[in-house]
Amino acid sequence: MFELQGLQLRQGDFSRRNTEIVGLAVDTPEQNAQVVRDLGLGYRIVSDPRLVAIDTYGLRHEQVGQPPIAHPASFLIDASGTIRWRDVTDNYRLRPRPDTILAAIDRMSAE
Amino acid sequence: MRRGNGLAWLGLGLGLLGVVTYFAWITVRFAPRLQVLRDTALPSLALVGVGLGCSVIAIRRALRRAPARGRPLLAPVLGALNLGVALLFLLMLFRFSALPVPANAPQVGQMAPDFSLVADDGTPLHLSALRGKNVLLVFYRGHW
Repeated sequence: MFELQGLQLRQGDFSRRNTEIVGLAVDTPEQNAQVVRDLGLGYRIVSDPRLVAIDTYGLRHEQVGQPPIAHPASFLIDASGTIRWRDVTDNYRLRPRPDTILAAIDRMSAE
Repeated sequence: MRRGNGLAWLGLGLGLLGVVTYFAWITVRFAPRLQVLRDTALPSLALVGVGLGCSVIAIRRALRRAPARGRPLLAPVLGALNLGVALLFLLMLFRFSALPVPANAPQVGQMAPDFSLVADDGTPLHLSALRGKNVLLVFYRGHW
């Protein structure tokens, strides 16, 4: 979940690039509201307890003895709804760095 | 020749310090700001490496020492312990945390599949309603 805080630290840089951050997890809206409060997030988290969007994106991660969750992944979607950059991790320790994503937005805008 | 055993302890201490520092900076307090450290673990790996070097030197000194001069086993035992800790640490970093990449996730160039889900403020959020600005959509594992 540290990736949410890392993004929050740079939220101004995302806003200046006309980019809205949206988090998505299996948790309930109440749990997500708690996370938004605890971490002081300035962006929304949506709730996907039935893994509807998670399955649409092919990101169901089955766990032994625990309910399935989302495989960590980030998608940069442009103003027309097209995916322009993505990161689907192959190691649960690793998340894309905010600088990497901001650079992807800048490359996209330069095209 | 007490120096030999001192070095053996130092080696194990550095190895443990490497592991402990890694777990310190992946906590929520540091991880968002020190993501490079979390990702690469380089300073921790360097400490573990130097620690193993100390253990090797300590073991060589201990083996050259006459058994009568006491505790020839300590350096090898501490060295083996240090090696075990280092191997577990490396396995954790590079093997146990590996995830298979989902094959069916949408690719760059595709339209982002639409969805409507309830946000933390209780209101529905349609992805397609955000057209006109960029969206960074972040799937994460949850609040645990």
